[in-house]
Amino acid sequence: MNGISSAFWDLLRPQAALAVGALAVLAAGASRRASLQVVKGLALAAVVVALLLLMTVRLQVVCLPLLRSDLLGSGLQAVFLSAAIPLLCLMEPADEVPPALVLGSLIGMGLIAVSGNLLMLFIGLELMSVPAYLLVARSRSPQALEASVKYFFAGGTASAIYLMGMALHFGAAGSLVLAPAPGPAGAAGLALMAAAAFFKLGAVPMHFWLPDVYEASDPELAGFFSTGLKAAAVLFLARLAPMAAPAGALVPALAWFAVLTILFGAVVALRQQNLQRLLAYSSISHAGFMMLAVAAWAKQGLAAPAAGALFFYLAAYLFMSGGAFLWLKAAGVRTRAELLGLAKARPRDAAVLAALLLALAGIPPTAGFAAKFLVFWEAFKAGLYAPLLLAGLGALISLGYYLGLIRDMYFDEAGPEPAKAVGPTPARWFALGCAAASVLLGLTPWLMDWFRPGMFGLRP
Amino acid sequence: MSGVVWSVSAALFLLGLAGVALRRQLLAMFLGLELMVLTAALALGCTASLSGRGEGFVAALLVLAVAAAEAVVGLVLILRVRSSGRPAETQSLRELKG
Amino acid sequence: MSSLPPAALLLFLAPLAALAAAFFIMRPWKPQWTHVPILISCGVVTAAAAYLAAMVYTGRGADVTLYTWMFAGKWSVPFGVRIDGIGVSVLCMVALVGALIQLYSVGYMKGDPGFSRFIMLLHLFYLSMIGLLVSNNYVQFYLFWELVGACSYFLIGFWSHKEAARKAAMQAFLTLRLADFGLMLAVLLIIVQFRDTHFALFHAVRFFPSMYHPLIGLLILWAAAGKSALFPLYFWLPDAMEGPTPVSALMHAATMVTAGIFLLVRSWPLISAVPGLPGLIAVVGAVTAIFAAVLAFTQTDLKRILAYSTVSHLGLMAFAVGLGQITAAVFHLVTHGFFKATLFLCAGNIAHASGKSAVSVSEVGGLWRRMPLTFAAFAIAAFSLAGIWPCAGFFSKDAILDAAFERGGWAWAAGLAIAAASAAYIFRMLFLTFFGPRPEQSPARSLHEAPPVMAVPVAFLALGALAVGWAREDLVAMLFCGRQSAVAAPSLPELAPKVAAAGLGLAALAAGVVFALTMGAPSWDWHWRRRRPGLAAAFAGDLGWRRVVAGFVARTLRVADVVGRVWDHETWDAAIEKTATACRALSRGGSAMASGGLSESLWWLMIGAAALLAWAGLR
Repeated sequence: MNGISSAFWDLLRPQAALAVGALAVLAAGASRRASLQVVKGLALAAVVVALLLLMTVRLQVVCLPLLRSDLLGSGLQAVFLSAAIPLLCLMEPADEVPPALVLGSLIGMGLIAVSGNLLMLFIGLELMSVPAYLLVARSRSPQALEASVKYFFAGGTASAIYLMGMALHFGAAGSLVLAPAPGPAGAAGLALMAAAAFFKLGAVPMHFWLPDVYEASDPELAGFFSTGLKAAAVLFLARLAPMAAPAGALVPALAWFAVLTILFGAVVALRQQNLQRLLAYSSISHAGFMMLAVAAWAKQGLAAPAAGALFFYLAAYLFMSGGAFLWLKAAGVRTRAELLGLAKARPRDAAVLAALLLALAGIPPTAGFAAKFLVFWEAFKAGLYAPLLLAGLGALISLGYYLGLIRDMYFDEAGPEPAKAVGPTPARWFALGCAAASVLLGLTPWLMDWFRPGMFGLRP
Repeated sequence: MSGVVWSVSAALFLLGLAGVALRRQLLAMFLGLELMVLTAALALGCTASLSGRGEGFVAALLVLAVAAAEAVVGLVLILRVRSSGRPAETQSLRELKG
Repeated sequence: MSSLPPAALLLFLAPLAALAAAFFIMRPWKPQWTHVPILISCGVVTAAAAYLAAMVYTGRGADVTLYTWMFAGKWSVPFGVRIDGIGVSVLCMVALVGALIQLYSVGYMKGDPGFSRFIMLLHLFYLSMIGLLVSNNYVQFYLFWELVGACSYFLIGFWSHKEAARKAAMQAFLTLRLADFGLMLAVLLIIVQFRDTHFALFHAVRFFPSMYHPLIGLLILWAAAGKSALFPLYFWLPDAMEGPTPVSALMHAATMVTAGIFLLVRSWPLISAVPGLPGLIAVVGAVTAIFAAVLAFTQTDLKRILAYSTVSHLGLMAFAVGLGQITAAVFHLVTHGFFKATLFLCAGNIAHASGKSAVSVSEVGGLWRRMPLTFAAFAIAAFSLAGIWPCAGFFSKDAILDAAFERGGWAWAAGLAIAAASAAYIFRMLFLTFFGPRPEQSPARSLHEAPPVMAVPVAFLALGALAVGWAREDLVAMLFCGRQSAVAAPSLPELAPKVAAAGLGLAALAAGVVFALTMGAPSWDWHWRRRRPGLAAAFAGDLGWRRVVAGFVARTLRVADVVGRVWDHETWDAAIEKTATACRALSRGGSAMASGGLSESLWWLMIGAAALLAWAGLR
């Protein structure tokens, strides 16, 4: 019993650090003497401490009544904790509440990462989402409230659907442990819970909240949603994967929803003018690739290399997509028209964005290419040939807007609305770092192995 | 007995779903949402008492707590829509699209 | 064996560091000093190459894969270094000749507004050729091959204000693309057939007959023909003279055209296993050599003569490869590097002195008094090219002639014809330029000798053109050291007096005849040109081959036009257009689905959940 409880605390240590940090943030805010910089610093420190504590979690698969840990979970936990760092550095809150909300959301994501039980998963899901609704509402855009209300109702419906699925599962299996449930009730329960996961990922046709939220949020917050929240949603889906039999109906459904998501996101992104909305659709398309990776992983009976590909995709996506949103913050650009002829006016900014876009498009030798390559290879091994082909088509279509943006910057004359506003310097550094990382990670994909040696077999 | 539980739950859940999907007032939609969540809690609790597994009661209790937190956020958002001078209906939330 | 000598790393690190220093420090600070780090790097690279040669000579080769980029299953993209006899012998020549040419170009391009850009491009060119020579697999080889092509494109078109330079660069680029495409296909086929692109596959693989194998060989020949300007694809090289002279020297001697021959030599185990392919290479080489030599004899522009002579010598090397004497081919590659670089730089001296970018043999004459050093260097290199003892060219050409003699028949005849013709055109050039002046030429009064920074490299290169052949035994010994491939290269035959005498005699005879023709009282060289303008035009048009090519291009374009109109416009374009239209329509539709209504989006959410539920139910 002692051993179990010590393992229990091991897994909860990062979440505990975040909770202490959140309380400290609220206390500091209430004391009126501490400035907002101190508040932000406290929040940042909590995230860094959580990250360090996460690194000390022993590398083993632990299964407890409520909690479990595995390599994918701790890997993705590192991804979403890292995604919060630029957000906490760059956000300009009016009071101490938003940093505390970010920490609360991170606690929820952390619970998803370590949950071994459907109820725990639900609590994590809600703890992650409810602060997110409020964070959107506190953005500066005039449409922030509208986006927040839409997000709330859609998210609430998805939560209710998940709960119903959970109840069905409980009825069928008599337990809330993450294990397959017998009978039609079990299958229906799993389908409903998967629907909630699809919603969180922004899978088509449950994606309508996503472009609205990304467009109305501040760029750094949208970047966090597109990387951190996405990683947590993928993890949520991955936690459900063991409940589906590898030969069951849900795995092909997952693959085909993935294809639909990839194609739909790529096609609709073609005509977007608002860059945050364009990146939102691009994020939907990328979520499709992540779903494909989950499908390949489930189809192969949860094989480690496929989990490695999934992890690599999200780690690469952290830099590519996070960098793109941070670039929007740094460059003060909002619409596509402002990009015209940017390469002449601001060559350095243009070069950074071009690198990020090439990575998002998956052009070798960037991290985007390595990530897509790994996912395609795993899907190929899993025998998902037709979805693979269509996913390739989606990647081709997506070149239309990624390369289109580069063309706008480099080969067009300056338009009627040249971008002049320039954002804060730290954002520029973050964007530059992300661009550098997304190129470097493509040249040295095995660097990811350094994070957890030998974990994913990324080294030959 | 369990058939009765599931029939009632399904009926209540679909009622809540219909409320969310068909009503235009945000507050009414919110009630539908709450109905769905409470139905799930009800199903959990009933199943637990029928099968004699206490886990379901715990789950139902926690679900209620979480739902209360969510309800606060939802009500705040609806109030803010009201205070921004718009009617609290779906019609006033159509700016983000495309 | 498995550890990598640090000198091999220097081959990459020194140029990269020099380029970085030049770009980030020198260019913004003192652009006229850009050459300083680059020349230092040239020295380091040359020293490293010499060290590696010594290492290989003592029997220690290396083949190390430094880095594996991507892999999937058994297939991967490695980056490695292979230090063996074949690579290092060419590497030494390229490093030394390239370094001297870069030193020369510092003097030649001094004061040019694009000086720092030029010198950096030149160094990148040098770096990519070195990378190509020490690659240990086909994928890496292909990458450097493309890089070499891209650098040559920028350098040929360096004076982009000149229309002709832009056109020549474009022509070279397009022709090379055609060749590169062949290499790309070959590499893909190699991957398909062998699942491995490492050159070591030639150690292990017992070549079994397969469908792809002859195709791979043919594609490699095609790629080499494009890069090394062999017969059907040679025409880009003479036109590539529009770049600055050091570029021509570098391209012809060291860094560009030799890549094709090197590819043939590297792939020799693969090529020799295809029946009939070596014979084809020999024929292509012989035809190229004779054809280009005849054309060189009729040209008047100094650089064009040399360009055709390069084509001719590349043909000779391919001829040697085709006869199975890859040792002789590499040997000739090395000696040719020295004498051809000397010749080009001498031509550059003359052009620099006369202040023009193109000088014709019918304009200047009697230069030996004005430019004694240039004359001496040119004479040595010319003797070397003509294959006259004791210059370097004698030994290498003799080895090839010997192989031709062994084969007998048409090969022997072709070999002798090449020997005679190359002596003829180079002595014509020597006599016309440096002797005289003839009354038809303008007296070269204003010309002066080159400054030391240009004269010293020329002197060194001439020394090489004179003496490299004496190292024959050592070079041959080295070629067989280090990592060898499964199919052994033949060793060089001993000097056969009969063959040497035949070659020398023919060369001397040709020299005598040429002297009579050019320096005789009414010079025949001007005479026939005036008497037979049609013939002169025919020669200027490469005996009609240019017209054939132009006609072929035009006809292809016309056919392509017709096909294009039917297929492209009506089928393909329409399909693309339709796809794009469909994408746009879908995009509009998808966008319209996001109508902004909250209820609609919730309906879609429920539809999605229902679909999943139905899917689970249909199991």
